[in-house]
Amino acid sequence: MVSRRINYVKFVFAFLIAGAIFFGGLFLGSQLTSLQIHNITSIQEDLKTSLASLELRHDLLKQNICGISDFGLFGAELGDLGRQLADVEKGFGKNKENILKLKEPYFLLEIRHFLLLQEAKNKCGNDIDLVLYFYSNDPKQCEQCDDQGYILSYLQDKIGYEKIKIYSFDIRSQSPSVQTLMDLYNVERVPLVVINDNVYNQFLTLEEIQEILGVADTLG
Amino acid sequence: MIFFESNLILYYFGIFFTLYIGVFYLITLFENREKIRDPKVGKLYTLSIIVPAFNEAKTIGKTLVSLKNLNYPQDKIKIIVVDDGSTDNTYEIASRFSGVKVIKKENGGKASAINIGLKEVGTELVAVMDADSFVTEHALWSMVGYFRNKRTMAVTPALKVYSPKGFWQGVQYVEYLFSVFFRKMFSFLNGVYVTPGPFSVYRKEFFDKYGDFQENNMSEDLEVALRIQSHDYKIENSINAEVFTVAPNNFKALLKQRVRWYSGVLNNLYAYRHLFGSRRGYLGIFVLPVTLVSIVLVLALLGYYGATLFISLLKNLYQIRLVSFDVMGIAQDYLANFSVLKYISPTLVLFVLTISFTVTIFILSRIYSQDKGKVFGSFLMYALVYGPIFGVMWITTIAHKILNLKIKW
Repeated sequence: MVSRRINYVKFVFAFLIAGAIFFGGLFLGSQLTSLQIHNITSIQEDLKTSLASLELRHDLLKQNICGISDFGLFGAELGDLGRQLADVEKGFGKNKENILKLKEPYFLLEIRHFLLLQEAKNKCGNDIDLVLYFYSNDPKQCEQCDDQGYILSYLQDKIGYEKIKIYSFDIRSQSPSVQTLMDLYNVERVPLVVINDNVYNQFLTLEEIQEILGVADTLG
Repeated sequence: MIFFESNLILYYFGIFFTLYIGVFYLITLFENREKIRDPKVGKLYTLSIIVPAFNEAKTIGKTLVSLKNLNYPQDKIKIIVVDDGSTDNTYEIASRFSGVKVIKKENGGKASAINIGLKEVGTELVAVMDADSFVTEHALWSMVGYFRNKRTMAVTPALKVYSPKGFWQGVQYVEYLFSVFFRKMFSFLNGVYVTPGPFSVYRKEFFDKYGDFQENNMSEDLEVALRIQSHDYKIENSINAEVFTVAPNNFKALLKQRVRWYSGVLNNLYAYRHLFGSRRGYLGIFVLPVTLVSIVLVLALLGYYGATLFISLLKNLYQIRLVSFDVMGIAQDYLANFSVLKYISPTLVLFVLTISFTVTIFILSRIYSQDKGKVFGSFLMYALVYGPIFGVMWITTIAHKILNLKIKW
């Protein structure tokens, strides 16, 4: 007779090794993701410092805010941070609460930068378009927000930070500052886009936004 | 903190299952590493080689040349070609070879051709050789020593794709190399469940006792292997006995072949379902169940994540439309902002680990079977497409079964 003896210990041993590899991989992946999040937090801290410096220069210059020329540079850095946050969102699901918490400091940076840039635009006649975009990543609250966000990201990259700055706010944010901004523009339904203080309470196509901004010809 | 996505449960199960199987077989290899080498040849058995052929004029000459070149006393070998009603000049080509008996019969299928050949066999061993396959000189010498064990009823070779050209043969070349490894592991576990057509060698007495090849069975090679297992005999494997076979070179031919094979798997596993269970050792408790679970798992993964990926692709296409199809602009933004970091996640790390395991097994297979082919490009193609191809083959097979469609050669 052919030996049909089974060594059950082998099954257990294989299970333990495979389990160790599996959970090791899960742990390693989680650690690498934590590094990403730590990196984002670190960038947020750096940007807080840069923005504080910008605001301080604004206070010092008071009458001569038009002397500050690096709003655009800060805007680009803020944009990079926004992109990294979006990447983390994609990896972990846009609807996760811990991801929303990660975005709170970013929203505050956006509001502070928006206020500075708005003042510079009013006082110095800067030819820069300021766009506020209110959205929700909860598909039950907003089905079209994903598409609206896609169009606005595309425009930001295409036109550049010297000519347009788009600030995006998740309406699920618990931040009082974000809530105040929502009250100012009467945000009840999303997507809602504010272009140079004009409120558009519906989904805007690329062509419609281009027409509002008057950039249809330059984009091609 | 460990990030665990609940919508990826099926994916995690697939990864763990693959890792588990890989680890199990690597432990098996480690336990049996001294037995990788083929046993010394003791007795020089007499052997008949049956070559069933139907319209194989293109390849049968090369097949017979390779058999004539076997490094084994030629007076111990008898070659019998059974022409199964070919309409080309298969018969004429085979007849030109001296020392080869050529029998012509009406078309009745491969098994019937083999059985006609079996009637002519008076030797101790009998091999079946597909007429589109070629043995290496040392193949038989590597296999014969296993018959010193009286319980060994069959020995299988290390089957590889002959001179792969193009995409389809390249993918199959890699697939067959994986099979070379797994078949050896199955043999260590007494779990070999198929004796492939190209140059499996049997002890003649098995057919005398338990009957010839089943003529109404599309996968007669699978059936006879299960029958051997059913009667509690051994099937061994020689990882050094290289035999090359011509693989289909287009999707239609490959699909036809695989529907036939996979239908055979389903039919024969059902007919021999008594082989499942611990009474049959690792064959019944591991090898056969894992085969079935793998099929179901691949289909489930492809179905669920394939659909998710497809919907995601459709969404991407729709969003490109939103920005006036500015594909160049999107591509430029993507490249300008590209960062590997954004793809790093537990999902990716687990995937990389599993691929590493797969590559390890592939490398081991190449080392132990002394494979010298250029495989890098083929391996990449295999890694990208094998899963979906496997899924399509199985879905087609299941559809054939459900719709009761005729399966053709």
